[in-house]
Parts: sequence; C-alpha cells; structure tokens
Amino acid sequence: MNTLKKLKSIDAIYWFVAVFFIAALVFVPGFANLAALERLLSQGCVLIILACGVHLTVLNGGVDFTSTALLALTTVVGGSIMSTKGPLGGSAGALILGLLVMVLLGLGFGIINGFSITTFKMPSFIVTMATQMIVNGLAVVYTGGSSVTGMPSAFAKFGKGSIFIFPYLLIVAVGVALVMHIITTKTLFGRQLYAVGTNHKAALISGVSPRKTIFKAYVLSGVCAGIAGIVMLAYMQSGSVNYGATMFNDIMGSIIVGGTSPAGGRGKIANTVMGALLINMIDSVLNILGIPYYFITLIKGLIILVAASIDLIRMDRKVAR
Amino acid sequence: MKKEMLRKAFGIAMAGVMAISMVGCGGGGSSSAASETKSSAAPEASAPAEPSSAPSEAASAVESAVSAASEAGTEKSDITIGVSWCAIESQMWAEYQNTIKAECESLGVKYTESVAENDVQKQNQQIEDFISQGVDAIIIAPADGEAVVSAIQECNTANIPVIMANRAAGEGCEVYATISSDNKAMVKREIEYIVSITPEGTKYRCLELVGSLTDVNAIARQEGFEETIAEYPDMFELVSTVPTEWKGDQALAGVQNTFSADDTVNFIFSPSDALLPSIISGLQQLDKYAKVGEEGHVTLVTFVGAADAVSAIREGYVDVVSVQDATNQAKLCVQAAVDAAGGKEAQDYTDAGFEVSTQNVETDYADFTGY
Repeated sequence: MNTLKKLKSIDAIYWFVAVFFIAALVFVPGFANLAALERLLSQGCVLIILACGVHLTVLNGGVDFTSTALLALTTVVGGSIMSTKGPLGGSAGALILGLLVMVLLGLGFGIINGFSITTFKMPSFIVTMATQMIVNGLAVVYTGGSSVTGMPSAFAKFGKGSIFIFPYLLIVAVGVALVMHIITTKTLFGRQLYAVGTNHKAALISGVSPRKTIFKAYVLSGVCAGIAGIVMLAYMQSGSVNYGATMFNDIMGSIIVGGTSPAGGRGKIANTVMGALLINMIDSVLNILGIPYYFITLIKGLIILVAASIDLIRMDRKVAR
Repeated sequence: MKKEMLRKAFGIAMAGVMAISMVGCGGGGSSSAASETKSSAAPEASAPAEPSSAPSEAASAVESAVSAASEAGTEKSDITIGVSWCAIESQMWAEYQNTIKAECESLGVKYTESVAENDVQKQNQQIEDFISQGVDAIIIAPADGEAVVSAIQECNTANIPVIMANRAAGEGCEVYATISSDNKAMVKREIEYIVSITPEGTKYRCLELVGSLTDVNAIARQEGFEETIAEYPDMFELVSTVPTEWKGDQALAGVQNTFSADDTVNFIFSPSDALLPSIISGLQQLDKYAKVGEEGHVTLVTFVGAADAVSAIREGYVDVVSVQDATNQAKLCVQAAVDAAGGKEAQDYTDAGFEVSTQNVETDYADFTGY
C-alpha cells in the first residue's frame, strides 16, 4: 500500500520520461543501441544547463531571454580565444583563458540583467529581451557573422569523449543541475527564491530582500549560459552566432513540462532536467522515425500541453485537499 | 475519483506514445513515400523527369549521371537517403526539396528528411539522428558549413557518405561530393552584362543587399558583386550595404532606409530572389518601381532564378537574374548519394548557371519559367 502511495506521489514528468523512453526502446528502430543513447545524452546537455539557469528566473516569476543569445556569444568569443587559428595558437593558456572569459561573459550579462531588473524595477522580459538583442548584435559584430573553428585537440577530446555511454559533457550538465538543486533546496537563497516567487510582498515583510534574491537568480542564469556555451563549443567544435536560434521554446517547454509555474513560486530543478530530457527525446525519436519537422513541432507542442495540463490537474487536486 | 483521474492521466500519456508509435510504424510520412515505389524503380531510373529549366549543359549532366546510376539499379531499393535541410524558406529550396523527393521515387530509393529552421545545433542533432536511423547516405544543405563539420565527422566515423547540397562544408571533415554553384563567377557575369548594355557616362549608385553572414554562398555573392563593380569605378558607386539574414522584412527596411537617406540610388543588387518581393514592395511604396527604359527605373539585379524573378523580367521590371539550376543540383545530389551508397566514386559538380535578362527572356529562355 505504501509503495502504491509512493508511486502515486511521483510527479507526472517522471512517468512521461519513463513511458516515452521504454516505448522508444521497444518501437523505434535504431534507438535501442548504445551509440544512439550516447548521442541522445550528448544532445541534451546544453538544454539541461540552460533550462536549469532559466528555471531560477522563472521561479521568481520572471524570464531570461538572454540565455540563448549568450550561448552564441560565448561560443564565438571563447572559441576565438582558444582557437588554434587565433593569436594564442590554441595553447593550454588560451584554453583556460577562453573558458574563463566564457563564464565571465555569462556572469557579466547576468549582473547587467539582475541590476537593471532590480534597480530600475523594469519587467524582466523587457530587460532580457533588450540584452538578448544587444548580445546577438555583439556576436555578429565580433565575428562578422562567420563561424569560429580550430578548437584545440584536448578540448575536442573533452567534447567527444565518454565513459561507457556517458559523455564527459553530461558530467558537466549533471554537475550544474546538482548545484542548482542544492541551491534551491538546501540553502537560504533557495528558500528566499520560492518565497519571493510565491508572494513578493509577504517575502519582503518577513525580512527577505526580493532585490537581492532576484539579482542573484539572474546572475546564476547568466553563469549557466556561460557554462552551456562551453559545453556547446566542446560538442560542436565551432562557435556560431546561430547557436540557440530556436532553443528558447525548448527551454521554456522543459521548465513548464517539469511542472514549474510560469507565475513563480513552484517548481523543482530535477523536474526541469526531466523536462529537458523529454523534449530532447521527443526530438530525437521523431527525427529517427523520419517524421517531418513541422509535424514534430506539432506533436511536441501537444505533448507539452498534455503534460502541463496533467500537472496542473494534479496541483489543483492537492490544493483542493 | 482519484483512480479515475489517474486512469485519465495514464490514458492520455499512453495515447500520446501510441500516436507517436503509430505515426512511426506508418513509415514516417515522407520517408515512406519513395519506398513504396521501389519495386518499379529500376526501369524508371534511366528516364527521370526533365528539369524545369532547359539549359542544355545541365540536362546532359543529369542524363549522364542518371545513366551511370541505373547500372546499380538492382541495389537501389535497399538504399535509404537522409536529407538534412537548413530551412525551406525560398522557392529555390522548395524546388530542391521537390526534386529530391521525385528523384528518389524515380530511382526507387527510400527517403527521409529533417528541417533545422536554420538552427545549426538542431541540424547537427538531426544529422546524428540519421546515423542512429542507419541511413546509407546523407545529403546536407547546411545552415552553416563550418558549424556542421562536427556532425559530418560523426558521419565519417560511422562510414556514412555525406553530400553537400548547394553549400560547401568547412575544413576538418570528409565529404563525398559537393554540389554547388559558382556564385562569385555567376554574379560577375550578370554585372558584366549590365556593363555591356549600359550607355557610356551612366553612373550607378548602388544599394547592395547581403544574405546571411554565416552563409558561404551569400559571402561569395557579396564578394562577386563588390569585386566586379570595383573594376568599373566610373560606372558604379556603392552607396549602402545592408545585411538581411535572408529575411524579407530586413530587405524592405534596407530599401526604405537607404532611399530615405539618398534618393539618387538607382541600382539594387539582391543576392536572392527570396528578397525580391520585399524590394519590389519597397520600391512601389517609394513610387520608384518603373520598367526598364522608363524614367526613374531602378536597375534590379538578382540571383537564383525563382518564378517571381523570371516573371518580373518578362514584365520588364527586373533587369537580370543569374540562375542556379536547383533542379539539376538536386538530381545530382541524389545521384551522388546513390553512387556513394553503392561504393562508386563521385566528383564535385559546380553548376555554371546562366543569366536570364530582359534581352534574352523571350528568345533564348522563352520556355523558362523559373521555379
């Protein structure tokens, strides 16, 4: 009886991921082999990291449009620093400097976003939309639109290497997700994040500083975008201003399918990670099945809608109880 | 009540999975279309449909390539080709897509496709999924030739031959064949055509529209235009260069802004017919859309060979279009893929293209309607 209760208490997203994965293993030719599973895991890493970052901003009722643009900017800037065709010739120092600059770029734009939103009391979607445009523009100006290639061989090995079917990149993604999970569940900042997202005024009265909390959320989101840029650069072995061009829907899809409320105050990092895995699996499986792109978009939209509806029904029931 | 809710949730989840499974088991839409015709493919392989454009050199190239393919006819029904599109956003790409589908059916090979909406990461992912799918060859129309190198390397590792459609890949990977146009030379020829018909003393003040800066074809066309007009400094002056990212709205804004700043512009170079409707709309709004020879005519030079452009040339509004033969290129892509899957040697093919202008549209190209 206890087991049944435990099963019932598991969030819908876990059932979706499990059912979809098993169905894909059984029904989709070409999916149930180790190389395909390794590719699937590699493909999901960037989405997981970006979704974890944006998740924090959604938790307090905001959004961060800058993340995908930062992904592109960090790959071209970091890539040009560490490239063997660059002035530093792809040396170890260039590699370290490139990685550092990528994280700092994310951090810097996170600070700009957080500062603008908290100091000028501007809506997050306006601020991050504006910085998204600025970042996109900077990436094009920096590269002239062309791609950055010639990554050092050590970085290439990191991007393509794996332990059994688990890519090295997955270690980074899981590491980021774990840190974000600990931050949101085990720290004072995490509790403040939920408090501000649930009721801004109540949080303020109870001694929480919404300004500091929101600022930190955007800074962390920016850092995540910088790390996602590193993973993307390692995986693709090139930097491009086009990276992430259509990824924002998948990021928000991951967060919403994972049961995070767009209004803020509710959501779990682990569920967002599951959401990202589901979205990534849907893409891959339907591609393998040879289903046309526009049909994939339609199916993905329907599944997101159904998953989100089921989660909302469950939440309503919990509230009613 | 609780059980009912749980049943509903489970039912919806299963329905979703079942629906996907059913779609997948149905052969996956486009992927099944060609395979259904495989039994009758071999006799048709040597007699594909004629290209919509009628340039004789292109047609003979197709014929020789197709006849070579027919030698391996008995094996084609086992071949599956994956086609990765950057995006189907212009008449040229639509023609490419339709021709590849038709050619696969004609040759009796299975066909599956994905569209990346110009997202290079998504395109890499889709190419990797083709590897999982176990296709025999992959045709890639890349959003960014450099950024797709990583995915091509994976294809190399998996021993799956890659054919580049219309755009070349960057360095660091092996491709079986690249089927593309000589963009730079084609633009040079159409500008030289303008020079040849222009009365001495005429001064062109030019607006140059540029495609995507990550597209090697766009860059080649830009270089072709700028290098050629630089050879005639007394005739051409570059007033403004506007990047469009192949987007019509940016082309329209570019035309409007340039003419607002300088009303004396009398020449527009468009790197693609896909931008032409926006350019025409902009000129109409500015009351500058006049026929060749009429007062106030803005010389329009474009590229690709879409039906809109050829029609505008026939009506006398557009001066010249450099046509890249998408029909022929698409057929050669399929042919190269079939040859590659069959273990044959292939070679790069460069589409020389041809120019359709107000002077030859009713004579040399009377039957050419564009795509």
